[in-house]
Amino acid sequence: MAALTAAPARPRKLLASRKTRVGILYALPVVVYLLVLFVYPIISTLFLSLKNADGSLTLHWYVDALTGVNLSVLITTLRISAETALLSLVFGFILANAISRLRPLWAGLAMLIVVVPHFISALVRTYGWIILLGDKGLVNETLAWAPGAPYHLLYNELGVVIGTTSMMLPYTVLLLYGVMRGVDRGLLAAAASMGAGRVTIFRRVYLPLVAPGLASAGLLSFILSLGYYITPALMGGPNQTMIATLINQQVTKENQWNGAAAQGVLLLLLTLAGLLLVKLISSLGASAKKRSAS
Amino acid sequence: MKDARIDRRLFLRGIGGVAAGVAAATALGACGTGTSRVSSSGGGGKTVVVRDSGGSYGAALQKAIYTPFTQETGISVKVLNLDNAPLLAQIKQGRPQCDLINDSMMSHAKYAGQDALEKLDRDRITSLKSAKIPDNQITDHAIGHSFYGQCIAYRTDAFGGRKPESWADFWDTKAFQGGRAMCSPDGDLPELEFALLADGVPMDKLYPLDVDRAFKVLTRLRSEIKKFWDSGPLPGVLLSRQEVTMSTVWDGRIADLQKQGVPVARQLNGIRRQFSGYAIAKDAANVDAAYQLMDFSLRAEVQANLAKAFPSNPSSPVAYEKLTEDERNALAGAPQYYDKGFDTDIDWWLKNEAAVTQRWLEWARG
Amino acid sequence: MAEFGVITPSVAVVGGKPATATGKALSVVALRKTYGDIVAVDEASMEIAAGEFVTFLGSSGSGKTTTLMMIAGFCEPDSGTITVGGRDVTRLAPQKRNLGFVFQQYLLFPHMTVHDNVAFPLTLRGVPKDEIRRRVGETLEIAGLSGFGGRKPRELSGGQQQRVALCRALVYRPPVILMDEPLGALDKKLRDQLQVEIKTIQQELGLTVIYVTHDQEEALVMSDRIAVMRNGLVEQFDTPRELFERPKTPFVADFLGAANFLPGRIEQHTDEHTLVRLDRSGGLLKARRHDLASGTPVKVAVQPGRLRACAIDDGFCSGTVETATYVGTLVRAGVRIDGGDAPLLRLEVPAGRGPVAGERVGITADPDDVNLFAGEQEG
Repeated sequence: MAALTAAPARPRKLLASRKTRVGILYALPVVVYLLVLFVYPIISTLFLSLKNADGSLTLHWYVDALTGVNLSVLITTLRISAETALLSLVFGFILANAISRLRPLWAGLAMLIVVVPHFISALVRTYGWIILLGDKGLVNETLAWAPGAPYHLLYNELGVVIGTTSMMLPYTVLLLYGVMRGVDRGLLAAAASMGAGRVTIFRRVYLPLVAPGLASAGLLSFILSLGYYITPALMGGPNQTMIATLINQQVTKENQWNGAAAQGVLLLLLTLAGLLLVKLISSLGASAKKRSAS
Repeated sequence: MKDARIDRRLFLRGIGGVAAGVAAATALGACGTGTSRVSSSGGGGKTVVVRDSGGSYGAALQKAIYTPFTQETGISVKVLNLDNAPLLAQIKQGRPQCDLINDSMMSHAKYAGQDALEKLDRDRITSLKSAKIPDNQITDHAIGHSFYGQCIAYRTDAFGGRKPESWADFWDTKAFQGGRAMCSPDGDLPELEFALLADGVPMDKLYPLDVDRAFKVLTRLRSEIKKFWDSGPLPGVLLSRQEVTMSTVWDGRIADLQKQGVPVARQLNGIRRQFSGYAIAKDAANVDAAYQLMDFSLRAEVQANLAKAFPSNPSSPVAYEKLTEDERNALAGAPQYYDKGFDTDIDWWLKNEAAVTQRWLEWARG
Repeated sequence: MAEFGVITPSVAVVGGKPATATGKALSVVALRKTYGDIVAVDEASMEIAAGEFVTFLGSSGSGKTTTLMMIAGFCEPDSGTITVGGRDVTRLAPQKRNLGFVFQQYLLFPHMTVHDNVAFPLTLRGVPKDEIRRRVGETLEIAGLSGFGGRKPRELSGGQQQRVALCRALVYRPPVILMDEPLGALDKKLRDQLQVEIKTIQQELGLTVIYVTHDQEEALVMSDRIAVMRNGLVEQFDTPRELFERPKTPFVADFLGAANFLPGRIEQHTDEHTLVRLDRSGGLLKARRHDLASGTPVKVAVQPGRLRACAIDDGFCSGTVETATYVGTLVRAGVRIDGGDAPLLRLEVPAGRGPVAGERVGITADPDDVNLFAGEQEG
């Protein structure tokens, strides 16, 4: 009975409490900031994507974005992003695992090497990749004896994925490094003390413990790749055109904001879908585990 | 020149498509409420704000034009590097941040179509006559000050001493073996004209372009094109690394490589010229100063000075007389080369660029 | 498959030598480990019988944990051998030694349920599923954790987590279970409770346990035998009673019994006793018979609980009670001995008969409770 009378009074009480009012005051700048710099632009982009030349509402920008070349570019974007996510996970894992075993000084140095490409200008990087991967590049010169050489490592999907993966490595390595440092090495010793070999320890203890990091690192590189622009242009050909390129072309060349907005919204939706997918998979995995345990 | 492209791309990189859209929308919003408008009444002396594309071109402009202009007139020059879209949005809001716009004549035609430029009073630009600016570079809203061209660049060591003479040779991968590079729509207008020239269309009968025929001819070369370049330095890089033996190239991008000893040369036969020019933004705050800077920049000796600092080709024939013979010979715009090439038909491209770009993408993805 | 669940009560007698020394569970011979110039463990040797609860006792840096880690295989000895059940494991990887280990920090797998944690070592050994379920259930029941199988470790209290860790270490019946200060992270009350539980389980299942701690009381409560370690050396390896009543070194006497030390000199021997002349008070003290030559300087060690207050002329020395603190069933007294800068003697006497502050008393002790250590005079 006391609960019944108390329940309706509660919201008023909450607002009335001084602590709550102060809390709202503190949150206000952040809320305003988000509204102005995040919510407003997204909503206006959404509006733009639904607006006809004469101001009426239309879906034809979306129809455009989902047909013909635009659709195939979208699919390419998804495919390259997925490949990039997978590869940067694998290499990121190997690298982070190695770095997490190094002394702090060496770990810092290794991290620097991973991150440095980010600070190099696009032109210099282009040049570097050509020196490394070109038909007359380092890799092909050393493999000149091999059958099928020279291998085409540039200006195709392989080139793009090599490039985007190298750009994503810092993110995956940093993320996974953090997660790996957080794994208590004692747990691995504990598993060994019970008789677990290295493979078993890796598979049943280490991997499950870093799995959340793997999921978020994979997702992060997937989402970042979706919006990637420069590396696909540098290292790919027309078949590796990504959706961000099209958006850029429409805005800067054709002053065509509506189509660009529609593609931007699609990209946003894909990103959200990616997030949802990972969430779904992890919760499915958890429930499957529960079932097997009970 | 296209130096601004790299910057824009760096900006877009990592932010991603959505963010780009969002950022652009924000920029639009910011323009609407911006208070950064420069007024001549502010401060002590007079000021003019000029839009250019920055980079090494911007540095050359500062040295050859802006600084001497300030010395002569006492008017200080502020530089603004802004993309077309936000600039246009500003003008449409009635509060442009800049007065004088240095951009391609094609962009100016777009601006003019959107009623974003002041109609020019030719009497206020005395150097039009003294520099003998060609009539076809004088429009109601913009004056062409220089051009850049797209032409053939090739490795001199690749073809056993022979050198390509025409676009037909560019297409002839039997006689001139090795990979090719051509421009992607990210870098410049698609190179349909070159395909038509290679197929035997006379230079003066190019426009209106036969798009179907052009793409058919492009298809013949498609498998030999290793890379579609999207930034000025890339053709040089590809040539010097021997990834390709021949490429299309912006005419000013070869000299540095030659100085470094890379065995490359350019062939000016069939060069496609695109002009850049000056225009004054509608409702600009400092119209008088903008006229003064435009007039100053168009002077023959000033154009010559700029040509010394940066490989652009002055529109004034008089300017070439003020250069040494070596300097003159290095420029694709020198009078003796003029008949080798053709001017881009801006009107045709304005009407067809979007459709051609779309078709190019479909074609290139094959 | 080892028969499990049949509880085999150990015949071991607490405080005495285990009567069920059916064989050596583990032996360590001349184990040595150095880190640079520092000798962490110096020629440690011991034999541990099956079913025995052995504690390595010492302060930090004494080498007790290093010795344990070498037995577990986490740390490689410079020299010496370790034998488990007759098998030389000195150079084997930890996972090949088939030992159990309980860590101070529990180290339960956070991503597994309690059930899966305990089942983990069994799955490694290819035990069938039904068997695993049965054995895990039984083990959890022994530890009082029935019904907790579905929980995650983080949902348990520290004491419960350590019980799970214990289950995980014993579920596969390793011949020896090693415990590295397993109660170190728990509060006093929980420690006392778990000490009893671990001891009970060890006795009921007849487990062989090597236990590391720095807590003397814990060692005395739980152990069949204690190895007192100092600076990498095993000072004495004996039953708690022996360590307490017949310490072989002054360090052991001090560490375990917190003994009072008095300097003196051997005066003479009788058939049963040795008489010691104390340096400061000049009193004559009767001790157990020791084989030390007359005139040898000695340290006399008597634990506070073994000293008695008596009439002023009846003791081997006399003094004034400076403090008398009532602590439940005991009174702790500090007695300043007459003569010079004499030390304060600590006494523990049953409450009620205790001296009061300011009282003049004599001090006496049963000769059997007096330990003599030959050696340097106390400065």
